[in-house]
Amino acid sequence: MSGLRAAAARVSWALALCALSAAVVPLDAQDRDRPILVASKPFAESYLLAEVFAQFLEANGFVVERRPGFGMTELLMQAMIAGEIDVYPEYTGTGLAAVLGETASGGSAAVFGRVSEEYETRWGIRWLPPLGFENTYAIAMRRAAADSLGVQALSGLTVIASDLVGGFSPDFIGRDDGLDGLASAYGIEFRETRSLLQAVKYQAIEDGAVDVIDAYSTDGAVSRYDLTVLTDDRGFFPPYDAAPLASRAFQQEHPEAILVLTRLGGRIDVAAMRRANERVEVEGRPVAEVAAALLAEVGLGGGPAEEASESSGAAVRDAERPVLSALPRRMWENRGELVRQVFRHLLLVVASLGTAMAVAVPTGVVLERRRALAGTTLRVAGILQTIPSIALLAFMIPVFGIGAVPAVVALFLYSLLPILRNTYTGIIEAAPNAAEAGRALGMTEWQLLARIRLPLAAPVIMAGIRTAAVINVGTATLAAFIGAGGLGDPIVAGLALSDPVMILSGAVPAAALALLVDWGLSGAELLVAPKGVAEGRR
Amino acid sequence: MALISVEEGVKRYGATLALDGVSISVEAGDCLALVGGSGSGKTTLLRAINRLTRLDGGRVLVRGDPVDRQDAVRLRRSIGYVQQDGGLIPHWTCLANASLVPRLLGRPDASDCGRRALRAAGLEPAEFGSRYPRELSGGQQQRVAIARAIAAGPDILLMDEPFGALDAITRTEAQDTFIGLRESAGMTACFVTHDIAEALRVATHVAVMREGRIVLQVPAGELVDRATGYAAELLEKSGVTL
Repeated sequence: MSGLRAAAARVSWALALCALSAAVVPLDAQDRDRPILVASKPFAESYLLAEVFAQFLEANGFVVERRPGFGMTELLMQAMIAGEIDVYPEYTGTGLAAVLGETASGGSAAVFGRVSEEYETRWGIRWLPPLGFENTYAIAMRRAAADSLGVQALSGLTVIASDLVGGFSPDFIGRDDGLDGLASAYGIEFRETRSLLQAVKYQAIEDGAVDVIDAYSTDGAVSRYDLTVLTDDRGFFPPYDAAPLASRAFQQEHPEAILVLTRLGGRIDVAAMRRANERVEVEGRPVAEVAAALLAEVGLGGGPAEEASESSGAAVRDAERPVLSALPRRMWENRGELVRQVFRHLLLVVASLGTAMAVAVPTGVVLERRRALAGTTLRVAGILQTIPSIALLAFMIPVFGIGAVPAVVALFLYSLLPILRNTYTGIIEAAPNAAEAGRALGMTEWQLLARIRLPLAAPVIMAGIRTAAVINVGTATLAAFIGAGGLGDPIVAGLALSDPVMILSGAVPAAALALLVDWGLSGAELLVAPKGVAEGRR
Repeated sequence: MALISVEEGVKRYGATLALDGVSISVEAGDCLALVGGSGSGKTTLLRAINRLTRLDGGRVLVRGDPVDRQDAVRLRRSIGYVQQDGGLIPHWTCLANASLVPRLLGRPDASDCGRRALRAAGLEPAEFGSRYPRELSGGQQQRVAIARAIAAGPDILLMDEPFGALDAITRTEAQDTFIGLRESAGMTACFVTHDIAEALRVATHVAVMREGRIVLQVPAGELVDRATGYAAELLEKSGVTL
């Protein structure tokens, strides 16, 4: 009996530990003294501009929290309306077409006026003065292909598009002012259209996997990959002036910060922006360093940032170096950050898993007593499981905002099914004859549960926990998309910056962590296995 | 005095009438065998005695009190119970299994009770006490189940096909052990079997059941003479000479 007591004690210990860790999940503080939340979209220029905002605000004495690569337009707008983020760089044309659903009439000034008015009336969100450059969509082809086909403008595609494969970002495919609008404006119909992330698009066109891509006019990669940008000869694309967007709460709480950001208006021209993008995308320099240099260049920086950065050759990505040899070095250089990310990742997993255990194990026990409810409950948990992770994370934003809490809630929902199902079946299948005999000899229901059913079901329950934990470690990488941090951060940033080494510096530790958790919990499974039940499990 | 009696017991499972007005009575020191085919209601009747099954009509009295007015857990702890597959708790040693009821009753000498019961059931506690059930043969496991049922010294023992899963030789040995045990302890017993020859060998009284009714209830010695109809058929099939 002592072995049995010890096993039961171990189970209850593990449960208590997880419940405890669930109780100490840090909640994102929401008060007036909170730092200014600066977000960006997941591509290099947006990263750079957000970093420029952040550094300039910091230089002027404000406390800033960065949420780089936070999400695409829809996610950022949701978060901004909910007051979850304060400021992010946006483009007037995107605001007009993608958010307001209008088409452009008139030039830059007219479009800026239109979005300013509508954003203010609808959401109290303010467009601060444009930064001074435009980053319009640019449809690009390989220079050699464009030359041999004799195509220089978009209207030239009309006839030959049926022989070409297009590769566009999901964002561009999905919006009215994107591919659909372009296709009808120019009568273009591609033989095939592929959805490609920014990170792989240039590689795809260089390899000839696609013939036409959407790029940006300030894109540093256009020159790197020797592409021709086709001119928009029918004026389809609206003006895309870059400007900071400021949320209602931000305007109310930090009017002085708004003034600071206003000083950026008109200071960054297209040449400066393109050069900065090139430094990040082509030369692989750190975003913070390039942003500091950009601020210095336009006369708003603190001083010798650029000189210092020129000499720090170690931080520069050598494009020719194979990924696999660059990875360990990069991970070693960023070891401090990596350790923080691992801990953050584990915190997300432990908090969500602990809460899921605290809910699903007792629920599984109750379901065994109320079997009529079991089918429905398991089906609901099963449906939760089928929601794509990124969609579930996005659903969380209107309810829980951004950061760790919505991520933990989403991961919690994912963990329910494996634990619930294994607890339920584990208890049902745990020696029903022995339980029946125990009852016949006068064991109470509680004694049956604590001394026969739970100890016998423990390995099965533990296997469910293990499944949930491994799923969680993987899914938690996606939580970086809603600002929860963890090992997803370098993956998201790497995707945005087309930096495979950075992607791997998040993906490899995440995979290793998943294996480690799997191994550790398989040990726990053996540990909780009751004696005398199966051979080799003593 | 009748230690166990069932009066007009009725039990329904949906549309099926498992017990259709059954009355039995077991005097102190007797051993009643409930004999019948599957679905005859014999197991339902047995389980009504320690309230594992609650009747829809009629009543059950144990030691003169209706079981519905007794605490189910206390009632069950005072009655030994053996089921066909033994129902041993697989992750407990044989001694832990045998000491279950004294331990539930909070008796400080629970392990000693378990050891004594194992020895009485024909297993040397020093040899078998520390083993797990799966390390024992079927006959040995059933002996542990019997030890577990008698360890707290109950005056009543219920058994559901206790020897049904054993081979012929092991069964005879287990039956003999049980007969000796019951007689020396003066226990009152009620057990279910489909084997009328076993009933004759082990029991003092036999009740033959069919379709939720008792068709014949007689002292074992009078069964052969008084069997008619269905009871006679059962006797004939089992090869007991008329």
